[in-house]
Amino acid sequence: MDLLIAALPAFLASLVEFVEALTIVLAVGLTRGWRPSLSGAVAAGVLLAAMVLGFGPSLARVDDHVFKAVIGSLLLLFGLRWLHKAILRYGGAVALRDEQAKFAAGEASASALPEAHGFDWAGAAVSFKATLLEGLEVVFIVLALGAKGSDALVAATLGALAAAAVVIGTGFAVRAPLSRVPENALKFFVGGMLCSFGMFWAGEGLGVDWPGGDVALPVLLASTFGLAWTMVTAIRERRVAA
Amino acid sequence: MKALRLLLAGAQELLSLLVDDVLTFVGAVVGLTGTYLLAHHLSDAWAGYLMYAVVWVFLAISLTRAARR
Repeated sequence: MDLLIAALPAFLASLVEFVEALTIVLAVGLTRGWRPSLSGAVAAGVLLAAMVLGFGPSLARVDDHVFKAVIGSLLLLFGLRWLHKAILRYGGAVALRDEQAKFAAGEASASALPEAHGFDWAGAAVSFKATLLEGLEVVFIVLALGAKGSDALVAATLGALAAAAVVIGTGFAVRAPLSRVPENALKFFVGGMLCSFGMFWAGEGLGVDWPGGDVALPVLLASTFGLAWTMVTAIRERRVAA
Repeated sequence: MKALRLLLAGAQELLSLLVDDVLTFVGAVVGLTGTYLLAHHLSDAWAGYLMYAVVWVFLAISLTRAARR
């Protein structure tokens, strides 16, 4: 069960982030060439892997209460960010993410870069930055979910790598942004999970003795999703009434 | 000066990974701080539920305001 808690959110969250990174890498690749695009993405990937290998094992040595309080708080903030946006999108207050539009904007930005003489450093930098920024969220989730021990870290890492394989494989097969991925559904689900895990762990780290122990976690999950969907319904009804 | 601006821009982008909406962020901080104080001075079981309630109150207010815009 612990390994599933580590692997599943890591896989789902990574799907969303890698799709967003792929959009920019594809835009740069189709506009500026694959050499700078892939060089930038691979360089960012190596740096991200180094972060996981460097920080991952050392997190297990941190005091349990401090670790839970800090990591739980960060997971809560991160989850709230995703859940907030997903609720507004489902409620119709904010438009759903349009991957095609992001791709077109990426192509336009890449085309506007100065012409390259030799290796296209500008194109590689755009690809590097996009992959690094999206990948940092993945690294954070992998480290947070995997910090319980080496098994959990391996499970979370494998979840992220599986998502990378799916996205990269599909993306390069179709050579187009993956606009059919249910991005908002994933953000809603993962955001709710991270909020619940974050609150549970932060609470334990701060001295809370959750009634029922680990049983409190599924209660938090059910309450979070129930309240989140209630907010979606309320926003939709308010918009219809307006 | 340019390097400092780049550093600040980078720090801002990193911070945006955690803070999307100020009210939600404040709610989480208030909830977590209140939990710590309550858990150590009053009831540790109810401190967790209070954190949950505080976080959701701030989130609901933030969502309501955002939906009105």
